[in-house]
Amino acid sequence: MDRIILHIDMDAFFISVEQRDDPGLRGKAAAVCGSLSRGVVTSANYEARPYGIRAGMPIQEAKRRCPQLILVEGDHSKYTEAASRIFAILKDYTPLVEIASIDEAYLDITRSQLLFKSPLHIARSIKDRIREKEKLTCSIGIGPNKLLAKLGSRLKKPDGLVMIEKERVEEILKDLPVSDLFGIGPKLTEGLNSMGIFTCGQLGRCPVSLLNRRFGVIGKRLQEMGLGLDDSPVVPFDEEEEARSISHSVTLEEDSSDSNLLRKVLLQLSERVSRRMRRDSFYGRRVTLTIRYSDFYTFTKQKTLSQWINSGNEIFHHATEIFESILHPKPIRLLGVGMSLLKKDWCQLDLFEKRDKKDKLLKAMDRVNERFGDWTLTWASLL
Amino acid sequence: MNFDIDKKEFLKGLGLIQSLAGRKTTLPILSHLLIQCANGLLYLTATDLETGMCEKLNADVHEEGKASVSAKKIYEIVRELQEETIHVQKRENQWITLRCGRSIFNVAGLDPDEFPSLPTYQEERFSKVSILLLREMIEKTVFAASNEESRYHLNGVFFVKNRKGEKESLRMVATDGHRLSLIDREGGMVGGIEKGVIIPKKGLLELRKAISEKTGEAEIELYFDQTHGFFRIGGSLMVIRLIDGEFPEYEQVIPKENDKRVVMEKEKIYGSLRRVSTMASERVEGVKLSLKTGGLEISAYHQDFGDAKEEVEVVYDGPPLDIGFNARYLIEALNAIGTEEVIMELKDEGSPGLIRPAALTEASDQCCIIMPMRI
Repeated sequence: MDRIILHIDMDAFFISVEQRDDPGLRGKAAAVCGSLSRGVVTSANYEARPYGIRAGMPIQEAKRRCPQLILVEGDHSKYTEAASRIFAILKDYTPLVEIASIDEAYLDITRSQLLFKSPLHIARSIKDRIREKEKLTCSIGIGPNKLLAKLGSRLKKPDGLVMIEKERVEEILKDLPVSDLFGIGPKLTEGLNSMGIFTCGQLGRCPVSLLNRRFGVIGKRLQEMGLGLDDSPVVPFDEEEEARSISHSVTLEEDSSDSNLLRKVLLQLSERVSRRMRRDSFYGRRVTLTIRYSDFYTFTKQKTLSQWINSGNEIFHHATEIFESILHPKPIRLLGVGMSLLKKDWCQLDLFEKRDKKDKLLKAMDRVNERFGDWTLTWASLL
Repeated sequence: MNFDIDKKEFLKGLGLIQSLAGRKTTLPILSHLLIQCANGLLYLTATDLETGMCEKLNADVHEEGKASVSAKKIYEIVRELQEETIHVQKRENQWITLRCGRSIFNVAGLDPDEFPSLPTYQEERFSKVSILLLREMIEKTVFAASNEESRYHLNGVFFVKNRKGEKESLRMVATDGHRLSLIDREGGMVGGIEKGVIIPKKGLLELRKAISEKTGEAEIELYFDQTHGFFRIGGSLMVIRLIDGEFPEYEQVIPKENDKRVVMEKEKIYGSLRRVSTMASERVEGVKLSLKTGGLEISAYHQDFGDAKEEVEVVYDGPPLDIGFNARYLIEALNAIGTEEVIMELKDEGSPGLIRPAALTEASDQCCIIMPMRI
């Protein structure tokens, strides 16, 4: 059975949330930034984009290009709240929802059609509900796989809806610049261009051996991308390899190379992984670090230990060791820490830790968040 | 510097202190000994900056002075020498020459003025304690101290003055966060421990070693200041840098409401634990104790190899209880208890268990506390 994948991408998410809440921003060029004094634009509205203002641009530069630009300091908790309500809507259509970042998600709706008529019908219903509930717009792409669904959502922004049927793939990709494909950043584009490859059509026709010689092992993957092929599954967030591994990841508020900040994030992630392991009496022997760079290049590196561990300290120690063994070429967008090779074992209780109290606290937090939505209750250190 | 020394005397001194040298490679001089001749006596000093030791030896001093040479090398040389008397003389550029019978060794050295000096002690503050007492207290607590570097303040034994009613005693406590061992003993007072000091495990083990080699002595002199502990026994002085940290509120975790009392014979339970724990998982070494009236069953399960269980006779008349423990913690606690009969007091499967000798005197108290494992 052919798969039907839907990619939903919120339009200028952060600034749209701000515009929704502050009518004064509507119809004017506006952007959300990390901090007003310094930092970069994290989200620019469509009125600002004709000036060339894009996410990642330093705010001085943005002000120079568009002096009337209104800057709003971002309130991340507001965006995560809105996002978790939106993701809840998506889960009404299929349990197979993969949350790719705070403002985008993939849905595998192959088997949802019996319940909800056609894919287009589902997409329209989602758009209507998000508009009605959150007063926000999104763009949706529908395709036979994640690559094409993502491409579809980018083709007609904002508020777009594009379906790429199998039969039209070749026609659409023929003259599409390679840089329009998700996963092909400026560096790869440059390399491909230097080989005379400018369009996806050309990329699909290029022999794998040539691509391999230039780019190494990813050659085959590149050719498949040129042909619009992608068999990666939609992995629902909460059962991401459950029991076989325990992991947490976070997309940073802005891409960063600040090692102090990144270490702090690693510590938080390690603590969260450790907490889940301890709760279920798991010990693990493999630590995995996932890094996604600003150009979306993503990779993982693992370390297998001779000892079984589950404390946050130890996980953090090994995650940092992996992190420091890598030369990071670009600012980092996402960090993930995971433990695998798990086994259930008895759990040594601590003499000085008031575990009862802590356990009760965590359970109460979980119950509140289940009922009133994620992030209703969280740690002060994460605010 | 110029002296004659008996080989046995020299070797005894070197053997005591050479293991301290060369532990840290950050400073080359730390792998060296300081050899000093003063007041007609010979002094050997070694330090790793945390523990320092100075050994006083009898020698025939012809000329005073000092030198610094590799501890390992001079120990190797002296150990192999055959004749009774060794003649040592300092030459130019920090070299020293050892002559013994027909052998001549020229050994390169470092400037002795670079050798870090040990903290100075105040003669009048020393007080005396029985060596047997101190050694017993160390041995019955030090095993429970943590080796985890991240728990720095638990890497030692807490030594404090304890008062029970009118009586004063010496108390040592050590814990790694999972189990705790405490001992109170009457016998003299020690200066500087009113608020308690944390003596590092490494230094204490070094001290225990020195004590066990000083067989002729019955008493040790000691006192503590803000930063160091000073120990003097026979002709040696040992200085240990204290751990600068807060020892946890250990008194709060000593259980007082453990109403389930099990009386058992140490040898029996010890043997059972050793046998059954061969089938415990390597990482946590967990065994399950299942108590019912008149009996105790110890069992273990290994997910790859199988399982084991054994019945042990005990005196118990409370309700049934299943509780998990790290077998190694139980074995080490039993090891630390001197009496044949041992009492274990429990509350429930999530609260700490207490093990103590069956026979106790008022002020000479001892107990081990072990936190259970969640099965």
